Amino acid sequence: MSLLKVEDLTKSYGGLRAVDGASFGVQQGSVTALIGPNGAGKTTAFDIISGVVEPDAGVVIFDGEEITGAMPHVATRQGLGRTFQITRELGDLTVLENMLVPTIKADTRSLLGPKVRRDERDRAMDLLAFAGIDKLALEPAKRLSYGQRKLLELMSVMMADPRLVLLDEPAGGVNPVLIEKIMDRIETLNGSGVSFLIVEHNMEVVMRLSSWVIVMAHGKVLLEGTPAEVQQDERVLAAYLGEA
Amino acid sequence: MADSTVIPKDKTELLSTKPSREGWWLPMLVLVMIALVPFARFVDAYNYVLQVGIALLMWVTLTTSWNILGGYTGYISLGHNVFFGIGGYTAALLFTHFGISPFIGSVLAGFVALLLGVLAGFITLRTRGPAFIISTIALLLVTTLWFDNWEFVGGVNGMSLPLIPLPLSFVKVPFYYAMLVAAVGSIWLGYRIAHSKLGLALRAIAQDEVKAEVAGIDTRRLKITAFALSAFFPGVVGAIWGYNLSYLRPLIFFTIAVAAQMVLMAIIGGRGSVAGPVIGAFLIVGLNEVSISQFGGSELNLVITGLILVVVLLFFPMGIVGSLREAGRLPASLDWD
Repeated sequence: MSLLKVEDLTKSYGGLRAVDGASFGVQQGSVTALIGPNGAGKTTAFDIISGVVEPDAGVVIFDGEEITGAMPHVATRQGLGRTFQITRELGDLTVLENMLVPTIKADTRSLLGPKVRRDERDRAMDLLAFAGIDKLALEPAKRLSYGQRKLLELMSVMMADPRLVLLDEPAGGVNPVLIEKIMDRIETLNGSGVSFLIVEHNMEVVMRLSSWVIVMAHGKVLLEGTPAEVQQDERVLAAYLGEA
Repeated sequence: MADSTVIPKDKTELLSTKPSREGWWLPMLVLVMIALVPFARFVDAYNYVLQVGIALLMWVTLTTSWNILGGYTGYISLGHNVFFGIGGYTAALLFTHFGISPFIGSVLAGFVALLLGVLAGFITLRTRGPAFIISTIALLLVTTLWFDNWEFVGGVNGMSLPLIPLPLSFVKVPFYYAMLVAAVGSIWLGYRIAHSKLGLALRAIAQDEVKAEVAGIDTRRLKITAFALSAFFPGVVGAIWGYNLSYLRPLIFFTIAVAAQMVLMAIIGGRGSVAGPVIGAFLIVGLNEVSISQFGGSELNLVITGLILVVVLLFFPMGIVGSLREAGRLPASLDWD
């Protein structure tokens, strides 16, 4: 069953068609990779799906419900989380506070309630421990290393209990030891039922994590298939070399 | 690598879900002393002392309220005195036309300001950054034009109110306590917000609005909420201040200098903290009074105040509370966050 479906997404910036009629889906429970050369439109597709950018045309359907053009918090509250290519932690807030932001509910009672509830704090500390950064809970997030920020962003997304998480280059700019850790955590979370859509340039990560790969080039979906199929397809290499 | 950092022992209690009460005796002591000032009837220039106190408590309220939007949420308003003025005129009209005491009217004035804050926020919060600042200045200019030309409230010449029917030596006392209640109320509101999920959401918005949205926060709704809440107490103190002066005209309420003063006090004290605006108000009102009493109400007094402010900001670039906290030297009695 498709948890996420996008149809004919189109978005232009000035004369540039960043996404040009892309259609694809993410199966429930899968880790799906979205790959392609720089400028293929992957991040723009993420921005449209999560509501950060409004598409010129096309439809986004999450769990059977259309969310095209809705504000990002709507998608998040329905169980669609995302991280950013360049991490966007809230630097002056502590690591723990960063974890607590996704627990903020819309109703007045929750808003006026205490900043930290005991159960939320325990949950946050468990997740931080799972990522191995619990000892930094009270540090401002800006003091973390880049890899630690990637982990923090992933863990804070988990605080909202998402069913699908869009990860924009989870391994980008991260040292190999932490990449291993991040991959391991993603596998564990996937095992507990969370689906992932991952943009990633590190092919080792893509091949190890994903069960399905979508290749984008020039704003369109070039092809999709299993990692093995995609790896052997000549068009993929051509696209990366700029010949497609 | 920072991985090896361990939470220091004295910090582990910060993981507690309840705010710390350490160092609370000092602010409470100051509060009691302020509350007792009107009993010092033997001092020279008794009414002058109370008048300075009234102004001080008013500025504490205005700046603390401004801080909800300008500090926590990161939206600098240079038009917040609109709510101060609207509150003043609302209570004055209720007084002159319906005989409602401005002390009671001040609560109504607060709610009028709150509703107007929703409306103003709805319009101005479509912008951010410098554009937002300009849109709040525009709000102020439009309001000034409106009141300058509204003959029903006296236009540019303003309107006068009947004096409070009390003997001269008691005339300032009710205003003093009314302002004290408003100041405590606004600090309580600021404190409650800072320690709630709303406050966390507002700080997230101030840091990175897109990230806050993606984290599930309805940023637009909460920004308007912050705007409205920050308009309530300025409306209340506007009502009290108008009655205290027994005379209202646009020039008293609607000059940008009033809004700039709120910004200045908040920045000096520490924008975004609970204690910062209070400290900023004490410092600037205190400095003003001292330099006026020493040098008269001349330009010299302004120059001296300005110089001291420059020096303060040189040593405390994030405001007094902000810079002390950054350096880990903020005394517990000033840490209300």
